[in-house]
Amino acid sequence: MPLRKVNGYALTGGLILASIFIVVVFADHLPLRPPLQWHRLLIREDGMVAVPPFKPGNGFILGSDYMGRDVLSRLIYGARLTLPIALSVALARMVLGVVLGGMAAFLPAWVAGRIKDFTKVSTGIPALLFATIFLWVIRPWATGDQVESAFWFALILGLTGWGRTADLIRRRIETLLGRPFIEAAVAAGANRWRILVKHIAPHLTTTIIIGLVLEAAQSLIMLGQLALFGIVAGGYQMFSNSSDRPYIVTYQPEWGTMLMKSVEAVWSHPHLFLYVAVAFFVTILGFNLLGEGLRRKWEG
Amino acid sequence: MTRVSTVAHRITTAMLLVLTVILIANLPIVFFSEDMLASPPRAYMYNLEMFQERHVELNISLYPERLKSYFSMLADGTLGKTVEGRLITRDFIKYLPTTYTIVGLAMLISITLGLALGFIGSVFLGHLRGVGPIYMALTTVTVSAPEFVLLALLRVFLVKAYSNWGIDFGHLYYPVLGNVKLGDHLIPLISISIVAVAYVARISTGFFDSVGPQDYIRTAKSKGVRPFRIVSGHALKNVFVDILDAVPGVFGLLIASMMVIEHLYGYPGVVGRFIHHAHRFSLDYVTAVALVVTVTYLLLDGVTSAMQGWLDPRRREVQVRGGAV
Repeated sequence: MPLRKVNGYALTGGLILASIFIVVVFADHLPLRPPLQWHRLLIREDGMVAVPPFKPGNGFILGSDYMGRDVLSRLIYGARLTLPIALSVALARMVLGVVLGGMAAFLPAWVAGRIKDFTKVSTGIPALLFATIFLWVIRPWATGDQVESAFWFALILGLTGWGRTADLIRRRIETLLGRPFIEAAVAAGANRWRILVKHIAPHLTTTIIIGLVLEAAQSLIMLGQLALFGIVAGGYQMFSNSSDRPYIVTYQPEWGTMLMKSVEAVWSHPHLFLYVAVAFFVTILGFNLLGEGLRRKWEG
Repeated sequence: MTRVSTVAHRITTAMLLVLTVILIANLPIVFFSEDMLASPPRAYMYNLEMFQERHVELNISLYPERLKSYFSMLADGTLGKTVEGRLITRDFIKYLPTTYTIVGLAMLISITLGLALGFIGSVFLGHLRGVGPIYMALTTVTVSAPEFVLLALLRVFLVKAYSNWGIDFGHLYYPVLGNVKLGDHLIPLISISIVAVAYVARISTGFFDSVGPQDYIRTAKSKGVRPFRIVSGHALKNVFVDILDAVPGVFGLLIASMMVIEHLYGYPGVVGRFIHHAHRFSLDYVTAVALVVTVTYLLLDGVTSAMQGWLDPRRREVQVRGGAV
């Protein structure tokens, strides 16, 4: 295949995501330290004793966190919770978007108009506003059950951010409704249901896949933003220290909890923050590049 | 549908949407547990007892009571009180200008610079072999960088610049408390604008490219008009009309970014205060902020629609025939 025919966006994005996927799936077979194993002290190669967080080196490729746990290992194992949540959120938004976008394009004008209005405004109001208060009140991480926590995150973020996907689907359906093959189906006597199932749905598949990939990137951004407000799927516990100030301890490896905790040490140990931030950035970039590549391939 | 009935339709729709926002913003009350209902609101963000293991409970009966008290409060002409006991309206008078100054400036920068970059990308870079894809790839990379990453990098850079090279940027990287000068907005402004500029540049490049096959552009090309003149004289106005569609969306994007910036670095704005109050379960404040953002969004939408109608007669006709918000 000539080089200029290669879809660079999809290829780069696909490679980034495939690498992350392979590393995360086969993490148990990699020579990594256990993500929960902590170290109080470290005797460095030069014979000096170090206290956590350890800097990169001495067996800790990306250093350690404030409890002496390997950052690389926690990043890799943390993706096992963060990425499925991001994908679940994208899926939930897409399902709602398809249903409401489809209704806005297909139902009688007075109903469709109201759905369209509501969709447009829900696109504009930051989902972060509502997601913050709902998740802070529900505190799903405190249930102690990762699956339940992930479920609440997917549900709340899905319910608060479907506007963009609904708008995307509606616009796509409206474009399709103007095509000659739909006019031909109408002329042939096909009813609305048949047009939707037989003629519209097959053409929506590519839009849905592209939307799903791009929405996964948006979900990850939102998970990062929420983490900075103390809203994390991985959970944490609070203790009172000698000065009676709350002290946060995280256990479960998850990107959100790592980001939240590393913000405290952004000046003293910037590597803790930067590695998690880079993990978010690279994965978001992977999804965006793949989405853009697929859009160029399928929609021109 | 006449122009008057179009305006009436818009106002009715806007009121319905404001009502919907009130209903949704007060809904978290159904998840409140007994300790959250305790009054006055908690003085501390973290209460250790509340972070013990719990199960999610639904208490639907609280919702009608909450709505009743909220609407009666609105009828009394108040939005409620902050957790510090101040009137929310007074809080907004103090803190809203900071947020909206930064967001407003960021919108101006992102639309202007984004449009200019889209113009450059379409007219100059699009014709250079291999440069167009690099330009698009760069914008994709930029929109993938969350604002918290950019802000952290900027602040680390400022500190390193001081410690390593002795360049003093003053107090730019410190959290700002109290009233701030315009210069203090620089770091949050840059942090939130970068992504928005890339976002507008991407869509404006797409719009510039999509007007290429239009008849009026092809006619101009066949008459031998230079590409710069075609874009600046013919395409720019139409692309600007299309870009106006994105303005309310850019506002939403910037408000979300501003929440993070204000919360993380203590900038005295209203969306940072939103997090402060959300952490203390103050639904009055949460609802008030949601209302202010919604009303601003609706106003922006109305203004941009009016501008579109003014600039493009075809749009005006569609709007008067019964377009939605």
